Amino acid sequence: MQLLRLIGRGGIHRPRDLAAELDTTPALVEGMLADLERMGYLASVSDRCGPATCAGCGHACAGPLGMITRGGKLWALTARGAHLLEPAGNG
Amino acid sequence: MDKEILVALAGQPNVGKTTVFNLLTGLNQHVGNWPGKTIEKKAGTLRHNGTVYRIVDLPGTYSLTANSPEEIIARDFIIKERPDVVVAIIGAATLERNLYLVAELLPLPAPVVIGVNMIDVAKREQIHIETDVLEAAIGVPVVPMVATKNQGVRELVEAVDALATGRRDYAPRIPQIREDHRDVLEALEALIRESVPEPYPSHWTALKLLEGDREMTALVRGRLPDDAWEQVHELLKAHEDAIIDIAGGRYEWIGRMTRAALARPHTGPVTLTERLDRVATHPLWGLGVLALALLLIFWLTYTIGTPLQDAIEEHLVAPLGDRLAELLAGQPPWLSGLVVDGILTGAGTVLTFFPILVIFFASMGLLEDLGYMSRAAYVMDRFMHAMGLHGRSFLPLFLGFGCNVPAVIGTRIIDSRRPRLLTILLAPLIPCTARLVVIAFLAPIFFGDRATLVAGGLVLLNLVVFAALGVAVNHLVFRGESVAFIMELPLYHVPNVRTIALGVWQRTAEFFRKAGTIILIVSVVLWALSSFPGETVEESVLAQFGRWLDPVGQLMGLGWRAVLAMLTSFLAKENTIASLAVLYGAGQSDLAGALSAAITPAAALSFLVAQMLFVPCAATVAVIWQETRSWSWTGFSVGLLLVISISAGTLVYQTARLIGWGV
Repeated sequence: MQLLRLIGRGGIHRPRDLAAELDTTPALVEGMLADLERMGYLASVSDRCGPATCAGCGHACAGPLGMITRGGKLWALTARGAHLLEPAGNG
Repeated sequence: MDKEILVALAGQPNVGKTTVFNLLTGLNQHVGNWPGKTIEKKAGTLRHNGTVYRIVDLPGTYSLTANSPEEIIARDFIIKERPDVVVAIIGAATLERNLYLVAELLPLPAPVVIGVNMIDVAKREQIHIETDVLEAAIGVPVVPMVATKNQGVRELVEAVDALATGRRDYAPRIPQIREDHRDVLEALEALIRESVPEPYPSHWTALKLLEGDREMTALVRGRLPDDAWEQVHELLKAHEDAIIDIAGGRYEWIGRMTRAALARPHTGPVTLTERLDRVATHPLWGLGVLALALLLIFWLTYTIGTPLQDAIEEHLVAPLGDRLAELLAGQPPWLSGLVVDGILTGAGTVLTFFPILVIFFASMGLLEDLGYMSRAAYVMDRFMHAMGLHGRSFLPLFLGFGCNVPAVIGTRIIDSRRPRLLTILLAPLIPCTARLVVIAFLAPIFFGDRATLVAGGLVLLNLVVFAALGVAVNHLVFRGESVAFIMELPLYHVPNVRTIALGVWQRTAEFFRKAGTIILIVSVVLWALSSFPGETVEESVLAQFGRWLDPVGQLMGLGWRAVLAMLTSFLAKENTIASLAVLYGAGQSDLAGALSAAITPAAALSFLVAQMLFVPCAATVAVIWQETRSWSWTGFSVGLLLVISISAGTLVYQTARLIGWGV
């Protein structure tokens, strides 16, 4: 899927940028992201963050990434997703 | 006898399916559980024009792949019970998203009627849907509805009746798998066709196998002879990516179906967040905003924090030292030395950081609460990309500006081990608050009015080294592995003073806890080692050890005291200040004079550069080991940074010497 390949270029992407590149709507991109998450190619990061991961950190955060995302949704490319992109030579 | 029509009501969650079900069945409904499941099953009847419609409300699902019990129930009902009609309720405002389920319903052996619900919501959002165009495109009846106002329900029933009784043709345009895997699908279907049990359609079953559907795979596996399964297995293994083309085919279909039927507003109302983001996330202006924010924090620190720090030293720490010296006048000299020169000069000097810390933490808290941090991470990520650090994400590393510990822990979001190791390796190069505070303290001592520029330059240097190391390691070791994130930027918020104050309190309290433990202990130990056995520091045990460091120090124009002070930052970055105070035998105000006299500007710059790039603190090293479970990787990380920091310090000093600046 073209979306996964765009994501596979690495870095941080915004749904609206991806939508613009795919010439579609952010709403549809969000749907695609949800599908890719269900397929295991993306993981919703917020599920994995929490105060427990802050253990040992002297600087209070709402979760390691909470200070950055501030409630906005965050997905990460999984190993499965990265593996799928390997033959395409992205990286 | 009345004619009976079985209708399945399908839809994604939150599209108003239950409202439609209630409107259709009224009080004629009963609730139970799906066989063998704890999921609620709702069924009911509708009598209309002499026909009894048995309506079954399927669980709300996003798709029909066996990801959840609800999805299995929904598809099994359609395949095994073969309803006369499936009514797919979709939300008008989320049309494209909801059509994905329709794309999965169409290949199943039951005709589909689409109810486009919540047309009123779509209108409010200026989304215009031509349902007759959509109907012509998909080839199935499409009924516009506002279920909450009982609009379109009669038309829906009529469409169901017309389809069920054959009064209306049914010629749906079914989504196709993308061309890349069409042959594979055909080959797979040919292999399994004879073994697929009734009532599963063989084409649909082959599609599900390619999608990696565990339930259908197990079903086929149990019925195929071993040799045939081996071929199927090989085919599936070779085309693991087919699922992407299947989903891609569905989305292409959605795009085609809605192209003529859907009109969204080209320009919605531009929100304040969007207006601000045009600047804050702009590739160039965004970097400018970020640089400005950093410089502003340093400027505030020097303009407000440094005078306050001087005042604390002058009116609190210095008089306290005098008073303690008076009180301990009759006591053994070592006790007075321990309390005044060890504890107060070391840990006490660090406590004068208080105003600097409050300004730092309040500034960071303000940016955080404003919602700016995600923009800063986004802009930095693009900057790193532009610098050649392709495929690496700055996101977890951005946490390092607070503290390197959560940055290392934050790399847990990276699934692949090798990219994660690289990210961990780079994390300590992000200047943490503790390093920034040390710079905020020392830069004005060494560089006076030019402190803001020097501090900004040091942060930039760290980021350049970070990018250079990232690019080098990326090319040499981790070629071709990407780390990627998709982030919804949150709306900007009006900062909450209480939230910021709470953050400042927590972070400052943690700093004082550190000052009262690690920094205090290091100060006392350094004082003891620098006070015995001789009368002066030069005759002490510490001096004998320190002189071993002289060769390294000379490369950077530094004496052993400065190098030793840097070494103590391994335990906590702030120790550098306490150690300089103890080793140069001065309180904060005297420290400025003592350091200026002992260290030339060129050596001072070399010291600050080396300090910024120096090995991470013990807590970060511990967490690097905890996250990598590798002593060699942890050792490599520490060793590499040691080499980088000494090399950079040496380069700065030797260059300054060559051009004759500040020596």
